[in-house]
Amino acid sequence: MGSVLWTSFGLMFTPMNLIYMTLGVMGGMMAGALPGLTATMAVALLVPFTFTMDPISGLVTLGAIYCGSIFGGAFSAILVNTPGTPSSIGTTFDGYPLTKKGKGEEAVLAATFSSAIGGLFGTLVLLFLAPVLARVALRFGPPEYFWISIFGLTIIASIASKSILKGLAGGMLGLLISTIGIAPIGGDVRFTLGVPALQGGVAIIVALIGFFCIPEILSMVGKGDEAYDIRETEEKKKKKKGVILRTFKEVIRMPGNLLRSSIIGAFIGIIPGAGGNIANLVAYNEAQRASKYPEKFGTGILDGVVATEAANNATVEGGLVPLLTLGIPGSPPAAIIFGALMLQGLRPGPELFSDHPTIAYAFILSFFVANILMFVVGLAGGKTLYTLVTKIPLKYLVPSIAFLTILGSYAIRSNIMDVFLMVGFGILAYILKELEFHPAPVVLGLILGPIAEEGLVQGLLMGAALPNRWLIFFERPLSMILIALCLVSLFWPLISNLISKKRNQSKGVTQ
Amino acid sequence: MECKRINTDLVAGIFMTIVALLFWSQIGNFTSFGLIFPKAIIALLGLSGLGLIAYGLVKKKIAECFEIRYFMKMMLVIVFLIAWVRLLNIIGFAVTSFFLFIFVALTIEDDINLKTVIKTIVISAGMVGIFYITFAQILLVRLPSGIFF
Repeated sequence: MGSVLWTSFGLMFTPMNLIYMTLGVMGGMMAGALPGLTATMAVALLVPFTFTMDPISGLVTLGAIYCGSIFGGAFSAILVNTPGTPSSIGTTFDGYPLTKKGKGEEAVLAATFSSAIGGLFGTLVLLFLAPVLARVALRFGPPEYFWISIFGLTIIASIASKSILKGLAGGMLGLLISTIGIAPIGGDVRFTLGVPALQGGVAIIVALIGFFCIPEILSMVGKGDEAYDIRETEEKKKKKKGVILRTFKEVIRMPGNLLRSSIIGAFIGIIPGAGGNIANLVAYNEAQRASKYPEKFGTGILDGVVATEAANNATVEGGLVPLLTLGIPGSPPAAIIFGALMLQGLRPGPELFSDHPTIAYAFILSFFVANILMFVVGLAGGKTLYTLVTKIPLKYLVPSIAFLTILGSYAIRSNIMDVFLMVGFGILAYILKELEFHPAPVVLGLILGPIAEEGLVQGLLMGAALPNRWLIFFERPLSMILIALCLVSLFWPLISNLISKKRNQSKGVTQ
Repeated sequence: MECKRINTDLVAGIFMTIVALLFWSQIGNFTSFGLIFPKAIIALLGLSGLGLIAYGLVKKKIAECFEIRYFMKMMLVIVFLIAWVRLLNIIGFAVTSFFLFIFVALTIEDDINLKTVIKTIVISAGMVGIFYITFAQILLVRLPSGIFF
């Protein structure tokens, strides 16, 4: 294997490929930063440019675009509270409060460092553990997907810590919105109010833009500069000296957070159908749970940004595990890369490694380079973007963001109804925000709704042969593990209280 | 500072209960596969709504909401946003965006004079132009078109 790796590295690490990868990372970052241009769209839009390239150049360029676009979503999440891709939802929780505190640059830098680390970890997993993990991922059936979505919903407890009831209601609202359109099983047309355009359901990105971006626009207008106080002052400029090194030190002081989030990202990425949109929230939740200061999450601390960004970038390589080892695309961008591989005359799956090992390993190794390039480009790009946003007066920033929200929500499906929905969701989100609702549970419900419903209904169909069809959800080993995780997650506040009480008691005894 | 003093739990509970009832009223002749999930969620949403109402009535916690210093400006921006979307496939993406960008910017502008108007027009043309060319001409993303483009 050593000689194959070395040959593959030589074939991949050429000046031309480095240029392609740099351009790919930059293009991906720009696409990711624009709300509405998802990683899938970025990869799909740029696939035609790789047709004429040789297989290795084409694939490494697509890999770089994919990495860059997932990372790029962090910029808009941090600077304007709008996740560029669903993989950056969690980044808004602490990223934007950091920007409001005048620490947006630190947040962008922390996102850059942790994204690169997450991506490098994911590449190691792809290189060394892919075949084993792919087989585990294939054991996930409908009951397991159902429990995964329930586990995802338990995150509401930590996101909406101010009011669990409001968090629960928000989550249910999101789940309900996800049922609009044609039912995934049964084909019923539900809750469309007779509007044909709603039959396709509500696109997640449309709801994301509406729920996160429009309330911010309205706050900026309603409260003036006070709502968005990120202007550069001399005092702030002084504090910015040595910011790169300082932030880097802060990030590497969180090895547990980085490792845990990268593992979560890589593993969730491997499961077909799950991806960065779930991984970033799970990682945020776990980071908060493991933290010594969980109450500070959501107020603007780097830990939250580090967790979400390390996780979502690790899903990129994780998502390629089932594709490369079994020929099963685990995510929409992976499906497009599947198509690109086929167009190059390569069949993903075990044959890829036996018939074209140098190409397969060159593609995998290119992620090491792409993540390092992402780190370099991200440092320069992030700083420039931050400076640019802080210098744009509010009167131009507001219409610019409004313009991008309209463009982004239309570009998803070329459907004007999506733009109407986005504005409607935005106004609803503003009202809910004023009523002290957090937008995240609603969006979380919207993301997990289709997974939960498909898992539930397909699971019940699977269980038809059992004496009680609901038993199917409780008798499989993986389901049992997931149920245990759900229970721990749900009762964690009680468990942690008990642990801290015991600790305090034992301290009292020793004193 | 102008603020509304609201029992947010009570209002939120009423809102969620109404949403649950609205969805419940839309349940038609769905198959059991299409019904099982939304029915459970509607019930849970209704229960959370009722829970919030009960909590609001017991706790009676009043919060200051909708602190809006520039109410008229905000309402104007909402109207412009709706008009922006409505006119996209009547007038066309580029032309609508060009004008609405200017209107929104000038709504927020405190000191409107010839210089700021010209500056806003130039910025709007630049912004819309760059994005129109990038999306419609280079990336070939279909944008709404109307009388103009």
